[in-house]
Amino acid sequence: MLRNWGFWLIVSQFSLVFCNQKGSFKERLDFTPLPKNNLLASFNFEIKSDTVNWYDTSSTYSHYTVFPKSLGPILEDTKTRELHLRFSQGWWDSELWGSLPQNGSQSGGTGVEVWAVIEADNKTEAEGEWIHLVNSLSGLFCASLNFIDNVITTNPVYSLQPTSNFINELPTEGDLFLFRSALPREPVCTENLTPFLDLLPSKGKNGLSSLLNGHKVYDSQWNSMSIDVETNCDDELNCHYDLKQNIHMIVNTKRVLSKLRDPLPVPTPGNELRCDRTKKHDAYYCFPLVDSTDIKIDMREIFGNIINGENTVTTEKSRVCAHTVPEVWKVLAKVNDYDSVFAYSEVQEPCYEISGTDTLNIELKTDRSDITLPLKEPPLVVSRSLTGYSQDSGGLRIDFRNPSDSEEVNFVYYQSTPWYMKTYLHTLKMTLTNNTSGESFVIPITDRSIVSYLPEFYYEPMIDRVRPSHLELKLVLPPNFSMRLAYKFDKLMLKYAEYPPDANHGFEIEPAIVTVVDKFNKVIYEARTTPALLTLPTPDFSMPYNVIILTSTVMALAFGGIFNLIVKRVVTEEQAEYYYQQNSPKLRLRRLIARISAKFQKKKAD
Amino acid sequence: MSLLETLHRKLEKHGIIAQCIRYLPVISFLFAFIGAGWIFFLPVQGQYRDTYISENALMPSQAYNFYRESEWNFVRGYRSEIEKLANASHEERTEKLAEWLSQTGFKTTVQEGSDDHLSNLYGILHAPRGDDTEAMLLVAPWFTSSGEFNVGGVSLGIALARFLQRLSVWAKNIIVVFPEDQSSLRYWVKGYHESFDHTGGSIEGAIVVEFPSSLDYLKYVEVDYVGVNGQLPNLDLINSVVMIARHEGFDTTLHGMPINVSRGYIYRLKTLWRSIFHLATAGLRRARQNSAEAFSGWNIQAITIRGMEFCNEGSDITSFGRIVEATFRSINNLLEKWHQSFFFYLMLSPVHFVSIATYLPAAVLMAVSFFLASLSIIFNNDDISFKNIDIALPKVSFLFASVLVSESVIGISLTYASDCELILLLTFITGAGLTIILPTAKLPQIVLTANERSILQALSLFVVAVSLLMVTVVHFSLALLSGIAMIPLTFVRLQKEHAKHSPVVNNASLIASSPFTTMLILGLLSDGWTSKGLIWSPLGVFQGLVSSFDALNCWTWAFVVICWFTTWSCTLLAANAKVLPTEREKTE
Repeated sequence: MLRNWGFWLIVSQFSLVFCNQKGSFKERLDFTPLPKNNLLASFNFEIKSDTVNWYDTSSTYSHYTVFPKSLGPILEDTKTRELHLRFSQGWWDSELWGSLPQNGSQSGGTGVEVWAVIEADNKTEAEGEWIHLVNSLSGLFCASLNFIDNVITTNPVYSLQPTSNFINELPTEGDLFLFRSALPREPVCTENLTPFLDLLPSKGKNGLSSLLNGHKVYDSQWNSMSIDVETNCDDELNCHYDLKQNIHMIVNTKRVLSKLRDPLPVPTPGNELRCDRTKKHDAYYCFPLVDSTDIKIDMREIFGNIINGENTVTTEKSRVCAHTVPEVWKVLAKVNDYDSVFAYSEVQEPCYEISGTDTLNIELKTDRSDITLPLKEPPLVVSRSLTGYSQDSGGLRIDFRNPSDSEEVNFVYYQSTPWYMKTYLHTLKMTLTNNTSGESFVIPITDRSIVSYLPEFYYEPMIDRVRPSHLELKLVLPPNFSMRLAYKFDKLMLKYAEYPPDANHGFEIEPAIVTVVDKFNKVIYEARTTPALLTLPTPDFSMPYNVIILTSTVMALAFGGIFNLIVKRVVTEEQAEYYYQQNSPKLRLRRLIARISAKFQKKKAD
Repeated sequence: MSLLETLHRKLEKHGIIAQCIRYLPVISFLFAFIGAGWIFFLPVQGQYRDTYISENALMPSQAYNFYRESEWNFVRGYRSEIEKLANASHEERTEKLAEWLSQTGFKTTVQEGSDDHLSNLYGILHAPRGDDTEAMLLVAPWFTSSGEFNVGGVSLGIALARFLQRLSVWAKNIIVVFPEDQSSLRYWVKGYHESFDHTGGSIEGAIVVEFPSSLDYLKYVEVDYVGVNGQLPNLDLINSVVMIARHEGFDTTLHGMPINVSRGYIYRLKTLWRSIFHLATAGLRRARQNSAEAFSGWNIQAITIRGMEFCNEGSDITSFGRIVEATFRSINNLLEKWHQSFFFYLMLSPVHFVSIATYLPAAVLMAVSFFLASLSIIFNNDDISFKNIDIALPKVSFLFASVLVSESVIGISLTYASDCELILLLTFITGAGLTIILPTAKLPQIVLTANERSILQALSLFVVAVSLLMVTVVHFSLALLSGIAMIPLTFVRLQKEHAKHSPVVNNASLIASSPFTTMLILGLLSDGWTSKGLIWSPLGVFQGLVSSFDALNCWTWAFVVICWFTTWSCTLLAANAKVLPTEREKTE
């Protein structure tokens, strides 16, 4: 019996040790050709940390294997349980490129966006930790995240809800707070990519990350870089961080190739013109044809690099996959520059596994680049624009379109606008239009019938210089309908020091977030609108100088008058005239002459 | 201070102030004369300045332009197809062009037409990696401002669109619009800011290209920039375009000035007067609407470049296109806003301008002249005793207010009837007829005391002065020209002291200063008001005034009704009312 007990003890101890999981690292690259010679490249890196235990302060032992050491302590210090960072550039063309990769869960709006779940005893403490967190991240990612403060931070209620499972698994000691902020002005560039690569165990030296070159990534039509940290638990004792890093980019292959051929957009040589033969064409006339559908492009052209061998820390083989129509697209893998076709028409989703220290180059080739996999249509199309005619007030208009003929869309519209946009929510009007018949009707927010389209909403009005206005609308859009929301706002005056430095073109309003949910309130699609540019009445900043001069002049004049009053004797006009008569220069001269002549006469008399 | 004191005492002693008051009418006229003469002084060397680029980031013509060589083949290719469309319907043309435009990679949309407007085709090129908040606009109307088929312009528009999407330098979106004409363009701009689903952010700059010829070469470029309500595009935009055009080997002109003349004082003076005239009448020319007017009010810097004198040698259409390319690159460079101080100016030539501080005194002097005339009526008048002013004022104010209200009502109701030519014609004939008949007629229904009559006249002149002063800063040209036209109002003398003053002078002054007289003169002396004959031209002016109020949000009509016609009517009332004898006269 005892022996048996002993055995079980050992087993249970072993299992405890094994439960203390080791971290892991996986990577994957996907190519998806899109219409009009575009190509979507998606990098996916997944890192799992060792087991972490924040509540047990007695254990001083902490070890980061593949999980980035630069990030871990920041998360632990600020008690951040979940962190999401987005760096994006460009306008997503849903007409041409379909729905966003990964249903938009990994793409941000233009600029930088960050949201985090922080554990703290109360809100004030949580706010402190949030500021601490963004300041630390600012240094880490070379972004102006340190400019985030309460004035531009909100606490989303329906959108961006935490996805980590530890909330359910683990009884937390403190409360959880969700913070979110965005910097739409932030220019995303290569210096944000370098820290991104530094988080990876391969550091951009080998594996898939060796393809990531700032010049090429940021020369794409659209790109989005995301970093997501979640805390997931298997049970109460075994929690770990899941770090997902993604880069999605759209490359226009024709543009890349023509840029490689000639970096300048020189005119096409006469003999290479593609003219429409059915129309007038000769040495002088040419009616242009659309771009040819012949494409042959490889990684060296797209990324400027090829894959520099396998990454040795990965727990699975790194994979490169192509999602094409196999009948017309040929995908070749060139190992050490030797061709080896790895996909013809046989496989729908050809994948290639990297092994060893061999270099790998992938080539995509077709003569019918217009044939691509059918596009996945986004469940909701959204656009937002500023309206209005004058300098002191304006309006915001948001258009939603439900492309589906049969299914209604439930979604949440989240928008945070700065305090100097004084929102008048009572002016909100909803216009619903039937996409086919064009019939439309307007429901103002004051009307009770709006409830069937706007069942719930959350609104926190702005406070000058303290917090932004925060609007979240739960909306329902019937099939084949378009919805337009429009409301008015006033532009508030800023203090002169609150204007951004001279080189600005206005105030960027951060992108709004649209989250489409299904019946079970599960997020099925996420999208961002473009930012908007708000022009506030801006004074001529040479004015303070003019004011100083004017004030000084007035003060000098007043001083002169008062000084005169103080030091001069006040006399009646007659007295003054008499005095002037007595002391006029003529008289004085005459008196002087008289005196001199009197002297002379005296001498003579002597 | 003591200097002022001394001066004041000297003035008192010699009775100069009394002298001044006596000569106020003369001084008033002198002010008006100097005000108008000021404009003749501006083109003198030393008074104006050479244009310069204020915003360094624009860097016009600093980059090499690539719109050349084989791109010309595309222009010709498109043109040979567009020539075939010259007689096609608007829908057919739009459909064809929409197909070509979407092939170039632009997001193509057709703005649906309405009862009054045709549909407009436009395409947006979202700048790669751009933040999608700002846009530049290229407009190629199917018909130019003078009504010609803009075959070269539209070909260039579509060919340029195809070319511009090849460049990868854009930080701002590019939008191309192909409206039918200028009023369609206004409809488009309005829609862009109110109702479009597809927009490309705030429009930073707009270029309208007009090239109504199938020929390949042109002699020079005319630049049009005038907006309604005294709004002008930022001077930096004009300077950039003029500078780029010069680099491309083009001579530029403004306001239809000829090209091969010596550009001396007379040339500058002519351009200046034309620019003042065009500014003051902006939006009123129905038959020759300027495309830049369509953008007024939305804070969009807009400019029209027009190819002139098409021929078979010299600079070609791609050089003309390079002006657009290079200007877009300049606007694209703009990281901040257009410079504040560059919105108020008058042009003397494409490369010379006067700034607001230099020209503003002209209109201010004009307004002061009316103010002095008003003072003169109060001071040089035995009819007015200061004790009686407060007794007379309520009645006079009521009279003035009722004239103002009734005329405003007529004015506003006319804007609703701006499409009905018959109503306008009748109103115009009535107005013009009354202008001639009324000054000579007597109005026994209106009974005023001499005191009230003088105050009514003084009040009218005072209102003119104040309105002119208010308008001066925002719309200098309108203030100056209407001031000049209203000067005869100050020659009307009704008081007993001026018994020798001939009534003929009074009547002539009233006829001359009527807004209808000005409309007649404008209509007969310049063109572009209507597409019908010269005889209809004065009616065209009237129609332009009335219709632009709604169509272009142009408030010249409101100014004419409220400031000009009301004060003129009140002066007329004062002149022709039946006057009760004063107490003194009774006793005598």
